[in-house]
Amino acid sequence: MQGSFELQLPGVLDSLGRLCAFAYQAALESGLNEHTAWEIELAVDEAATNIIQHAYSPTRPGDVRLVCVREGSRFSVVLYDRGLPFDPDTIPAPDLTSSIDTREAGGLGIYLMGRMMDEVRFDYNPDTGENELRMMKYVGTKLPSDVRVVPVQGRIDATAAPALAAIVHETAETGGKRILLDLSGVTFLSSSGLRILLMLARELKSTGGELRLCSMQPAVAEVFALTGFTQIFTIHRTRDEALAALAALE
Amino acid sequence: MELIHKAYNRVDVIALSGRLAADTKAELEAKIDEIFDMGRHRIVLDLEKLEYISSPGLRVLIEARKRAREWKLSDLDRGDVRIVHLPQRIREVFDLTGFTPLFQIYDDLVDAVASY
Repeated sequence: MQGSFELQLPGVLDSLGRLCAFAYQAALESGLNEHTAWEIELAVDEAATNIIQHAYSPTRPGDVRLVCVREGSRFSVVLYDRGLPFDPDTIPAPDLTSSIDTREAGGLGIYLMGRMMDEVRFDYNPDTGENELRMMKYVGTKLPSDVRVVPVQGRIDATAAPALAAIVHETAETGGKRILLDLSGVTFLSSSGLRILLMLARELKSTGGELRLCSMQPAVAEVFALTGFTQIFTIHRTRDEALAALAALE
Repeated sequence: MELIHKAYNRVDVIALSGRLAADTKAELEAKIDEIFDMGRHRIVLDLEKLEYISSPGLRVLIEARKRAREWKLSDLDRGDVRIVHLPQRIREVFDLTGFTPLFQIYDDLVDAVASY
């Protein structure tokens, strides 16, 4: 899903309601659900409030530009301003636990932005003279709770097979029914290694689970191709593709 | 944001609706100041119709409760800001920011008013 939305308004409190409503609407029109749209609205609200109250002042006015873009599973929000640069490190960590008499409500805006969004980044662009606040939300990539990724390193052969089996068994026992083996670190796969993979795949299948593989180096992929095992396993080119496919199952 | 204030014998109830954010909080701050200035310090905030809150709104609530508690007739009878009807989204923000244990929160307006 694609889509881009842009709004530029004076950096004053009177603009805040419109910036928030615009972000909420952009999220909905990009296919996000109401709860996610509210999270985005709240992050934009906190960000815009900071810009309006701290980057700008009545003697130092300027605009706020809001750009919302959906690209695939990523919804990104960027706020641009030309006010005082902001350094998030100067903001104290929020106090979330002390009693009412000593509770301070500082730092909550930045904290909420981080909780609402998956990534928050403050930059200053010297070429344009603008502060750029980027916030990302990844949608639809939440993994089902029974999916686990197990990275495997080195050689998979008779010597390494018991250790690999132990890791997979342990992962399955702690609720990982669907296991993705990331083979990007595997340099060699022997016939004993293939046998253990096949055995683990059968075991998981028998309990309603699944073993998938991803990120094979060429030498390993060749072994699979030569033995015809590519037909038996679900193999993904990259970990991202594998996770997207697993997420899409639910 | 809309605000409806009802003064009962001992307790002031403020019902909020809409958005409580940086651009709308001044009205609530002014109302709370007005109540304190009358020498009254037992407040119930009815949030049933409040759709949205951001951190400046949270700050108003915490400051109001702190100031109300400064007024004290005895250990058992002191000022307070209590809350009735916490909608789901407001509760999410309360939970994330550690506000939930900071306030006495009621499900019923009569209970909230009678708690004073």
